[in-house]
Amino acid sequence: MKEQRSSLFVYYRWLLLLLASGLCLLPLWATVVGGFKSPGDLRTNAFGLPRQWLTENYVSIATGGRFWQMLGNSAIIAFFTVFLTLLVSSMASFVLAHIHFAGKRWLANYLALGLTFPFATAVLPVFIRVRDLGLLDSYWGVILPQIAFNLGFAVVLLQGFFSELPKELFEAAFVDGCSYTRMFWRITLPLSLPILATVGVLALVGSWNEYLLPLVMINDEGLYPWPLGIMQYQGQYGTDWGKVLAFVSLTLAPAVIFYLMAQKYIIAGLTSGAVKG
Amino acid sequence: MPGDSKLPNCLEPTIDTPMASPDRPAPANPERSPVSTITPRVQEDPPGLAEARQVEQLIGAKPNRWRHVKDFSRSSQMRACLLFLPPALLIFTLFVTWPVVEAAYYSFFNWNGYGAPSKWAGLDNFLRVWTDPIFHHSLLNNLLIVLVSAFIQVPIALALALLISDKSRSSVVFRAIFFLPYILGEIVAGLIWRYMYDGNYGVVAVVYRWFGQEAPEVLATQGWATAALLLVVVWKYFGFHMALFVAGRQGINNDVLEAAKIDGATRWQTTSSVILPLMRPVVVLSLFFSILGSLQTFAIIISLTDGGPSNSTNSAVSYLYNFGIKRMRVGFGSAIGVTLFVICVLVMLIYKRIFMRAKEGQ
Repeated sequence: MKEQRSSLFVYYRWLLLLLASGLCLLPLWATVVGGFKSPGDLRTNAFGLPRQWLTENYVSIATGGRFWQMLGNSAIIAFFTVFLTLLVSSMASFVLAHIHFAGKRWLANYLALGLTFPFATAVLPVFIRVRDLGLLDSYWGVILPQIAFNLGFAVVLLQGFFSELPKELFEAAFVDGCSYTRMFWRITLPLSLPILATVGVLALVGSWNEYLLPLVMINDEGLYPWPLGIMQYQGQYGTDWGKVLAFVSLTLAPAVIFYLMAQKYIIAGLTSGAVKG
Repeated sequence: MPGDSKLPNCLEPTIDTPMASPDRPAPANPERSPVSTITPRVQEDPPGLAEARQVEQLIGAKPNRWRHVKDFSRSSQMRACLLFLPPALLIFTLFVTWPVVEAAYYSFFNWNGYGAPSKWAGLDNFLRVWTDPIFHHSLLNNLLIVLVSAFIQVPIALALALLISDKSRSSVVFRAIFFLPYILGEIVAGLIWRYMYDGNYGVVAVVYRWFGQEAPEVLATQGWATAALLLVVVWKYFGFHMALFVAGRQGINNDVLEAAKIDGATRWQTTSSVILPLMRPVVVLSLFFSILGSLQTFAIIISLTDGGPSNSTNSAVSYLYNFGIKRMRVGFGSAIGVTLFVICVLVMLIYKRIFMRAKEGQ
């Protein structure tokens, strides 16, 4: 009896999970195959394999310079955002975790303020600030505000981790005459790779997908990151879905490849980051 | 505590720095000369310190029993403070806190962003935001997103998470599949579903044609467009909540489950009276992220409906974009931003008060 129930459970479990996966993947599947279809094929055959595999949508996008340019723009912005977020926030977190001074808690709370409200609430003044600094239409106009808004969660996560590192290490280093700056580079950072990876993944995914900030800061099409480029492309081709879907699929590719390679870390990073933050 | 000294904060280490560890008898020993108590081997004095000390001796400054602490601070702790804190504080103040303050200021002006704000508007901007039915509708949509998340998304995510929280290979694969939409950009999610909903080409159209009907333009019909948006939100974010639940489920101590098994609890009993109650903090957290996410919903709306039809699918942020930023109405947009800011802070505080207090007590 119990055996039978158990196997029934297994059966339903699989049924449910496969159904959910199907619903989850169907839009992505329709998108990728849609890029290979002719308009007529798209109209009548949304789910199935293309009756005739048209590669011209994909090829024309992949061989045009625009697509690579915008991926490059996104990559540059994401790289500097991640790198500088890690650098700036880990330095601040180190001080907040290891050096005790009056007003420390206040400072930590101050930086954590960034967690409480969405970037959009302050976007107009940020735009004016960036404009007055002469950084409109530059990568830095996007990178700097992104770093600033990452600091909240980054400092909360890093400070928590840093302050749990064994104290004895720092005492030993201190006795040996190691300066605090050296401790940071030689002890704290090497021991904190997991949390740095977590913060890095959060910052990377956020920056790669960010839309509002570049939308406000960047006018020059040559500097468009991919989310802006894709909207522009869609605006241009409207419901010529074959082209748009091919474009969407190609922009999905880097994210999906990265996800498949580092899936374990990404899921753990994004969720544990969320839990601790 | 030397906290009443007038030196900058960084100079004041408290007792629990390595400074005061047992093998360093420093602060309690006023006879020793300040210099010799510093670990003699490597500790380098910053340039100028020796001179400063000489001057102090010349003018007859009294030996301060915290002197060596301060000396040390000057050389290493302070250097770390001065080197490590300013970048974060500067960039954060420049691009986060100060803009919020500025938004509060700008919201009292009618300003197009050029020159200095001069047209004082008093509370006009706020009144216009608060009495705008489109804004009300946008907030309602935010609320709908939270409700759908609470009553549809979270239960689905929780159920799936409980099915795939073990370490088997199939579970790992399913988790990866369910999490996939979450890592895609919001823009992409919106565009994919815009295609799905297309009355002429999309998947919806095909399904309608199976039944011999002409498909409606889902995204061009009020009501349907909102429902369509909510479905996309569920599709994109349920995987994130699932991953939270999986982490929560894996965090449950196995002994508890063993105990339940020994007591003869069925699978259903174990789930409903052991696992689910233990998962409560994670559910609270997950709803917290739903609220946070709802208040930030933007790009998905821009690429799916752009707020239409007739501004019925805006969220608070897309309202801010469409009515403030797009038209460069800095004052009006700032009033929306400030309103949104206050809502966010209030909601967070209240939610934490009500639901997250227990967590701190544990």
